[in-house]
Amino acid sequence: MREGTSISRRSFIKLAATAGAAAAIPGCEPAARKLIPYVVPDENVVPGVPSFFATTCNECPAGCGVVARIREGRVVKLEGNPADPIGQGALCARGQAALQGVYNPDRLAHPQVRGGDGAIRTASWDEAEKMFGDRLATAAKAGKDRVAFFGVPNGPTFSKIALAFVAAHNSSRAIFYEAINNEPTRAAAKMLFGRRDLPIYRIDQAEVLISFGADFLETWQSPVELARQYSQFRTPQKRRGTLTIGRSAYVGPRLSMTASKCDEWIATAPGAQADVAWSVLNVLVKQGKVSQNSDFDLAALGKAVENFDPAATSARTGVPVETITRLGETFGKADGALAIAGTDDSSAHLAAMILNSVTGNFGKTIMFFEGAPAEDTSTPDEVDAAVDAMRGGEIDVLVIAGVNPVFTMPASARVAEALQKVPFVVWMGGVPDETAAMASLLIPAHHPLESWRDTAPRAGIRGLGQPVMQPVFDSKPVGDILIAAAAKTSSTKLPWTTAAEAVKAEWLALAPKAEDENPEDFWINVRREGGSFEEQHLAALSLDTSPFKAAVPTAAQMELSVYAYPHIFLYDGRGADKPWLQELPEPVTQLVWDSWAEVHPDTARKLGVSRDDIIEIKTEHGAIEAPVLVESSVRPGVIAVPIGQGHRAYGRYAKDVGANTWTILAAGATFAAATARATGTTRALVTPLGKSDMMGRSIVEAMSIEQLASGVVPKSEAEEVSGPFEMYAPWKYAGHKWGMTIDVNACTGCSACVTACYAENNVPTVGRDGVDRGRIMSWIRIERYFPNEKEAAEAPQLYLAPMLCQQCDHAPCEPVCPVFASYHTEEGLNGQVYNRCVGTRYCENNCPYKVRRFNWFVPEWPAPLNLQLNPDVTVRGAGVMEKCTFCVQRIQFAELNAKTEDRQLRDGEIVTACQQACPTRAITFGDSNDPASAMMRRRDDNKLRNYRALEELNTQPAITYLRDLYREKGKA
Amino acid sequence: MAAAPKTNTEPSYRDIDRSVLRVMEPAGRAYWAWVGFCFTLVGIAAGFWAHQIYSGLGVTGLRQPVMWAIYITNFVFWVGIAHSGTLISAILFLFRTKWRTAVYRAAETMTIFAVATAGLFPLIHLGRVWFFYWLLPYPNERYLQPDFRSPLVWDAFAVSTYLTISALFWTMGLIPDIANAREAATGWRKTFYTVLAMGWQGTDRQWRHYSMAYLLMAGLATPLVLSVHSVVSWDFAMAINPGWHSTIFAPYFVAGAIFSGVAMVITLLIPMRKLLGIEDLLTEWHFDNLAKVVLLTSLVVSYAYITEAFMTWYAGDPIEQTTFHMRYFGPWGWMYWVMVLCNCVIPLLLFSPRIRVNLRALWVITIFVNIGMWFERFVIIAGSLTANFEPSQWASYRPSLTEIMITVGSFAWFLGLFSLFSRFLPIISMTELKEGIVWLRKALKRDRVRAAA
Amino acid sequence: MSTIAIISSFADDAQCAHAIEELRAAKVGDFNTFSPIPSHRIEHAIGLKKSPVRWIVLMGGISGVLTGLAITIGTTYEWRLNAGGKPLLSWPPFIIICFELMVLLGGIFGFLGVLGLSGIPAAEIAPGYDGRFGEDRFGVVVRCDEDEAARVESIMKDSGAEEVMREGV
Repeated sequence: MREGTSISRRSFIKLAATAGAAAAIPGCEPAARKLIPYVVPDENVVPGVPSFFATTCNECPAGCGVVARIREGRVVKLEGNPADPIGQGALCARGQAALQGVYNPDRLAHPQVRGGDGAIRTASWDEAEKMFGDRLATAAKAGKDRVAFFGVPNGPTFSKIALAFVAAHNSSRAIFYEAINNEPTRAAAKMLFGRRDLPIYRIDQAEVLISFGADFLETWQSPVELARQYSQFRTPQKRRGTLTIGRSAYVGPRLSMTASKCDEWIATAPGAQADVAWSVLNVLVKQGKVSQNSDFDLAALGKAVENFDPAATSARTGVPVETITRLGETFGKADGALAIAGTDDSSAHLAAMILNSVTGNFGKTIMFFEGAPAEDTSTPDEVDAAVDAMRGGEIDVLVIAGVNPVFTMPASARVAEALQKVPFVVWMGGVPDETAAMASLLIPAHHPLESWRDTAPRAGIRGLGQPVMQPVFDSKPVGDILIAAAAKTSSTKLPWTTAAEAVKAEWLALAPKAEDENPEDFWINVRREGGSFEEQHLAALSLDTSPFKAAVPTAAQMELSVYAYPHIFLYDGRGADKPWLQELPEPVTQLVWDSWAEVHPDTARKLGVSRDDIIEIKTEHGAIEAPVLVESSVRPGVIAVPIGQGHRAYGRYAKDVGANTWTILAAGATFAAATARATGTTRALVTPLGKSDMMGRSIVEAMSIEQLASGVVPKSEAEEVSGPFEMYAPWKYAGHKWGMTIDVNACTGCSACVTACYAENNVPTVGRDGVDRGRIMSWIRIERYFPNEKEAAEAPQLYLAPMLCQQCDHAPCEPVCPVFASYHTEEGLNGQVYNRCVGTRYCENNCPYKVRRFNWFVPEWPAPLNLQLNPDVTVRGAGVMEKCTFCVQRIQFAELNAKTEDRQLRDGEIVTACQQACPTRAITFGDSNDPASAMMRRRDDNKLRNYRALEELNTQPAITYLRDLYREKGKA
Repeated sequence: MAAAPKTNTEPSYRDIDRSVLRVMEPAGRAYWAWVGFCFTLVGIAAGFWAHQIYSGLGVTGLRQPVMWAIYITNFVFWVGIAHSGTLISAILFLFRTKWRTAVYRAAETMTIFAVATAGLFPLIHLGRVWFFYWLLPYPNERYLQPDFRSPLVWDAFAVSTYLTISALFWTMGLIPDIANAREAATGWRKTFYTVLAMGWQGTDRQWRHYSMAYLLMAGLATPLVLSVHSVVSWDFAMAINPGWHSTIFAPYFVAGAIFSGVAMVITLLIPMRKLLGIEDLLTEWHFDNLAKVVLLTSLVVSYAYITEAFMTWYAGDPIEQTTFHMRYFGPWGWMYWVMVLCNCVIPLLLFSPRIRVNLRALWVITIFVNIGMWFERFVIIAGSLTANFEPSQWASYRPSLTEIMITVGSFAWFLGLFSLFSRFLPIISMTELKEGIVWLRKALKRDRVRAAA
Repeated sequence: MSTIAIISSFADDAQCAHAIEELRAAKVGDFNTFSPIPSHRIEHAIGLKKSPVRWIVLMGGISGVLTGLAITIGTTYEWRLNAGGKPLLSWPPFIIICFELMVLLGGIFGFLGVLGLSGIPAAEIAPGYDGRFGEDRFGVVVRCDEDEAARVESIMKDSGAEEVMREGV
């Protein structure tokens, strides 16, 4: 029910909360709370029937739209909002895990005050607010700019509130800080086009893509949107008569997940990407592969890039001349090409943008829109200024909300020291983090999903974030606190009394001004839609060609360097308090619950270390220690370390896990010259992964686009299977027979499906030790294999594919179960009856795919994490086997609906959790008895790519995979 | 320890009774200390099991993908031990083997207790042991019954049948002997044996039915014993796992069972013979024959190992080959080679007649055989699981303290029960020994001669 | 006239068997024997027929097989569940169950059969039984009229009885 007005929802939630809480308690525990029936049943709420609310995601600046699934007043799942043009219904792992931010057991439950002795004590709201108010009042009186706000960008309305708040206290210091802020891109855009907003990319419009270190499938700018575009870009299609897929190259020090999905990974030292980028430009210009209508003075351009002759660049970076030339040619020839950069120096970004514009791709594969929203992230200079002000004792009251500068800002910024100089630091947030540890007053703030918000990620797109449930803890929205404080302490009244009011006011102002339009209708509509998404118009670009007349910097050579990349799931570190994200194997390394130092075998030999040896990595800024992971997925001479771990606070799940990589980086940098030495100690890296070599088995299969074009099916090492071998008369499935088609080529390994499964099916996390002891519970996992020597010549750089229960017709797990706990349903599902299972574990022994999971202990969800549990799915107790059943609860739900509405099930009506979450739509679920179903059509349309995992075992899986596609070497 | 010269080489029926009944006289402190020790270990193991039931199987070392390991190994091991008993008591009875009479009671007793021990492990390894009865068909309101296609259900039937039949067979054999004990005993023991003897008098009528039934029981037990270990082997052969899915498993396992079983009989009888002072009933002749069985089955087992390897190579399935390569040369390769040493190489010593009657040597050899056979089961069960179809899921396994203590407890349980039996019930069948007295006398004479030489 | 029991014991079963043959030839009184081991000589001498326990075991076996068929087929059809696409009537496994039950019931019937037929558990010991008969002596107890007693005793003595004694009944 999307139309429920806020009033009715609130009222019902108040009544429902307790009932919901009780309902959420797993059956095995004694009910701790009394069930309270609805005093006044809310007409919008049928117990057992979910309601949905549109809101926005706040886990990164991309600003995807979200639909929250509510059961009995509790949000139990987050899914993408189909109406939102950015996410288009998909949501990444981080976004979905926001749930565990709401229900995090370590969230601050009451205001706290730190006494002079540093001891922390709980305070009442009145006391806290009074203390806050008094301090503000005195600070405001003391002089100008003595009050500062330091928070995470939280949408235009919130920015207004924050600014109004500081203004009300005679100050102008409001800093909106993102650790990962795309500053280099903005700087480059500023230089070339005089605007600081981020361009919009259309990878799907290109046929050649070069990424200079931009991990656009993981954390760069807008991963969900770009992953979707990339999968379209890589979908086979006829171009100039031949079937082909987009050509992509990744230039950077590490074989990231993004790099692994590209045709080639051009390994360079960190910082050398710019050099290569300019060199590619050099090739373009030399070969005159520039569109005539580009406003560039080609002569000047050629002059600017003259030191980037491929030979020269090759000498500096070690990238073969041939490669650079090829990149240049393909990029120039392409009908639609895109170059993007993710480096920390704006040079590469500049080069990329010039590449795009000289080839006339601006407005096609990359564009700016008219009416870009006001930038809501402060520039590094502003941030530094603010920090210096603190250090200089110019600030009396500092309000920190939603940011953790102590953790994310480089040692060189000396934030901690600066904070100590601030007499009164107020921290507002959820789980107390490193910064909170330095605050004098800690105030529990609403989670974004509990408060009114809005976002304006780009022109024409405004997302409306509405609260999806009653607060879990005794907290308040930051906005309300600020407004209230301002109202109390200052003479200048703010125009609103609550943040909710502010948001509504802002949005009513947006309402179309037509006579017949009632603003309230608009208000209802945007809440239903999750925002307003308008047609966007290309901005006319005025190119400033001065920058590239300037000499272009080239990267300094380094003996050994450390390269830091944001962890795909932990991002800048904010994900670390969520067990789902900690336990989700990083797609390339497959490691969990730790930091690691990824080094090339050669480097390892030089350092004299091997896997699990802890090395100390020292830069001019600091040093960290991390266990070594030896893989050739990183360039020699580079130590790749993920960002995001190493918290010393931030809740039980984040505390004391790994090392904080920010501390060894300069401000805004992603790499640094480093020295490394073995500490002589070791710590076992934890992974659910066994071998990385598929040994020629048909688990994840791939074929080259050339083979596909010429209609050749690749010969796999595995035994050839003529067709299904039936020893007995096959079972008849009269009604539906559920099946799945998974496009391995579309799968990027982003693991959104895995998180979706955790959330949907109440899959418990088992912690570092649990994973180490082989008890990880994930029902669906990303298979990750490196091609071995034999395959390397003709294989993708990495085999990545989701592996889940194959729902085999000849399921080996079924006949071995002595009690029919594992059996086959009439709809072709491999059912698992938890209540019947006695726990012989024979089924898992006999499962060739090893997708069954055993409950070794009673699973635990420290309250209130248990409130997230999906009431539609049994919580399994100790001693039973569990597994994927294609979200049978969703199947049942849809079938019941169809029945009550007395109609046939529609194709696509049932969407499994993994399918729903997938940003690239790699997973299609449907009825294999219905040849017209999207699932079956997807198979038929890609006959040559069909394969079934370990088919020679004749298990007759209900899942058909579509082979991954790669480009034969030398043709990239 | 050749037969002491003093032993009477012309024992009469009475002598036999005396020797056997003497064993059943009240036992000394040492004996009770030993029994006490065994059952203390059992108690400890029980504690660990209780803890496992309470907190879940996570307390074991089991993990993805090694869902079965030591518990199932022990199950197969003990079922195997059981088999020799039935072999000797039933199969050799049908063949009218001369030397069986002196050893069969001990062997058969071993069967009962070994099966009783084995039967515990399927329960111990269950995730939800409190629902174990769901494996058996019984009328219930859910109309839900076990799946008779599952090898585990075959197990439930086979093992319980085996336990019942062996127990009945054993009891039958005991009745006449207990009647003897009844006559000899005094005090509470008299009442005890009187009750057990159920008023047996050895009248012509009783003997007539007795002999017939005994024969038929032997006839039933013979195919049963073969079926039981075949069924056990099918737990693995019916699965598709590389290393498990094999047609030779049934004969291979049965041979292995008899191999380990007979070895265990020897391991038990040699010290028992000394401790209970029944050298004049258990002669080297008996051990010589037992040793020959061990040798034979050892050769059969070795042959099975070779066949297994050959078939894997010949069938040419790369996955199967990988798994076997792991078994031979993988991280657990050493276990396999220890097994080969214990099961194939060391028993070859038994080709020498002198070693066959050198009880010390024999004892040591059989210990090795038992170790080897335990490893065989472990390598097959846990080893194969580590190298499965899905390389990304390969993993190793390390047993936890719980598993080790429960394993130790199972040995204590077995030995404790056996020790109790050896002092309270006739450890050697007087009746049958009397029937075959001529052979006993021959054997004793032979021992005497050898001792003299 | 009163019947008496004549108990005689023999050192080995050959003599015992001979005595029995003599008795049967002489057709005097009725008798039963005690022996420490089952002796075929004695059995032949008495000329007993094969024990009917065979049939009991057979009955047991057959009922076992039938039970096996009943539960396997019965339960399968009680709720037709698909496991691994195997047919409902999966004979090979069913045969295993039938076999095990055949052995089980066969054995149990046989055991109970013996007990029943040979009249145990028996509360009291039959007259004339002597502990030695369990140990190493073969005993024959003859019930006859007083006047035949002498003849019986002589038969016994002639067949080599170690001792012969009378007992009033």
